Amino acid sequence: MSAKEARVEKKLTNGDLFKVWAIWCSFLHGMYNYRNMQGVGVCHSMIPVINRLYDTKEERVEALKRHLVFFNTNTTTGTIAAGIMASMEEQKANGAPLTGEMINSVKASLMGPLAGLGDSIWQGMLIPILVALGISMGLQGNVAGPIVFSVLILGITYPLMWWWFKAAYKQGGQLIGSLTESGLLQTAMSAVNFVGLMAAGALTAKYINFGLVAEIAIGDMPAVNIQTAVLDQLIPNLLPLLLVLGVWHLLRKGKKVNHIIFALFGIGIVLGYFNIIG
Amino acid sequence: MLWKAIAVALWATWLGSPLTLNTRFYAFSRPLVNGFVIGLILGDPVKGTIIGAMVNAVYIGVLSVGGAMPADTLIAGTLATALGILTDMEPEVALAFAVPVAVAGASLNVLKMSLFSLLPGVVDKMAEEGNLRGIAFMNIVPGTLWAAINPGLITFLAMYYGAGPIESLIGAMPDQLLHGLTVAGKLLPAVGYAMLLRYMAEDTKLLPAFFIGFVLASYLNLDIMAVVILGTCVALLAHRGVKGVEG
Repeated sequence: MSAKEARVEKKLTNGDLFKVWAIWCSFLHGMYNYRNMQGVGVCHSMIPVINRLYDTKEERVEALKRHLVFFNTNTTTGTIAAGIMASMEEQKANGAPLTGEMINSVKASLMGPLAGLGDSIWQGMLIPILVALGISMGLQGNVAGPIVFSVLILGITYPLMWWWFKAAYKQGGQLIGSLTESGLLQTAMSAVNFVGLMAAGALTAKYINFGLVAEIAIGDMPAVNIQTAVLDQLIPNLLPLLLVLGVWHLLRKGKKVNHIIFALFGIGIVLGYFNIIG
Repeated sequence: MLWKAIAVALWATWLGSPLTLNTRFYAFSRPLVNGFVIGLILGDPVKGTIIGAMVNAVYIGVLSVGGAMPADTLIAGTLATALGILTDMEPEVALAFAVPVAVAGASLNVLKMSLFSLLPGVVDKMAEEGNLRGIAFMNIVPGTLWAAINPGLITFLAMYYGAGPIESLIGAMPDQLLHGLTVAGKLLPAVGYAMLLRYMAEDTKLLPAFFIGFVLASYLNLDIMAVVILGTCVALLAHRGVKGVEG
């Protein structure tokens, strides 16, 4: 009887949750390393949770150790994992039959899908598209470019990160189960990649600007500019398209990005020096 | 000059540190934005924005997947804009300067991660003792100190001692070589877009989408936003369509 009375339900406050979220956003990569990747960052973000929920030293040590294990995901969508971790810790502290291993296996099952989704949407689509918008303004010396880009990307990202962190905390582990099992995640990823690829094609046409400047004179005929007389008639922006596809092919064959950059750099200097392309 | 170098170095330190609530990743350390801010500090935001935009175009598709970054765009954008403005470089030349800096910066980051791989042992011990403050300290302070060196101190030294020699080097370059650098700067963005392609067309079934986007922009001259909106609509229709047939 007395044991039952002594059990007051432990609850994370809104302040605790905000701290978890803010630490996650800021410090997930605080000690990024090859041994546990974001492990130290995850553990740091769980400190407000541990502080609130666990009183004995054994419980605290155990909780700290389980969150120091290897972890690596996308920061943005990773706040979903943080919300689920906070929720599971709260359930465990209130006597739910959850073991540390169960919490860590949920974490491990979240890392991959969340990283794939976050990397595709943010690094693969959202940031490149918005930054391309800013670049197109910035290249003309319009300082609104960087400002518009910053306002848009921050204004889209932070409310989302907070919103799904809270949703994940409220729904606990059920959320991700329904996401991965319904195949919704897979569909979303293909859709994002589809749109991102279309954007990459449009960017290729719009923002790579070079062509042949050399003219060819055959016999007594007036010199012909191959770019305007032939290539532009065939496919506009053909050379940028071929260059992107060529580099893509090299990347697929496993060539190092920096080697490609230096090679293009050298080729560009030589062809520009002799006024062949421009 | 001393104060300008200190101000830019402090800004760069903040960008390199974990103290930004990750705003550095989304916005502020992107060369476009970083260049604009450094331009503001040095009194020429327009030129800072132009150089930043050019550097950013090359690295638009550089992704950090699993933590491996082939280029450090923070230090590259910082030094290219700061030195570009101080030594009155053409923006294309500043871009040419950024390329090797980005590579060198990437190897410094590998060094950082390797050094930081020695530290989790210390953190494990703190966990055994239930030392919450110690763990927070370890996750905040070493990363910030490192940022004070790279990019902080490096930026300061390059601006304070490097500007003079670099200016005379560029003055000595023949015009045709400078033109060559400009052309090289025009080719480099292809790497950025090819990397995007590599990442998103892992499954080559989706590759036609790339050509659809190209045709819309190249023949019809549509803006990027128009292409994105069209693409989203097509993706939605395709998804719903499949469901309709099944139902």
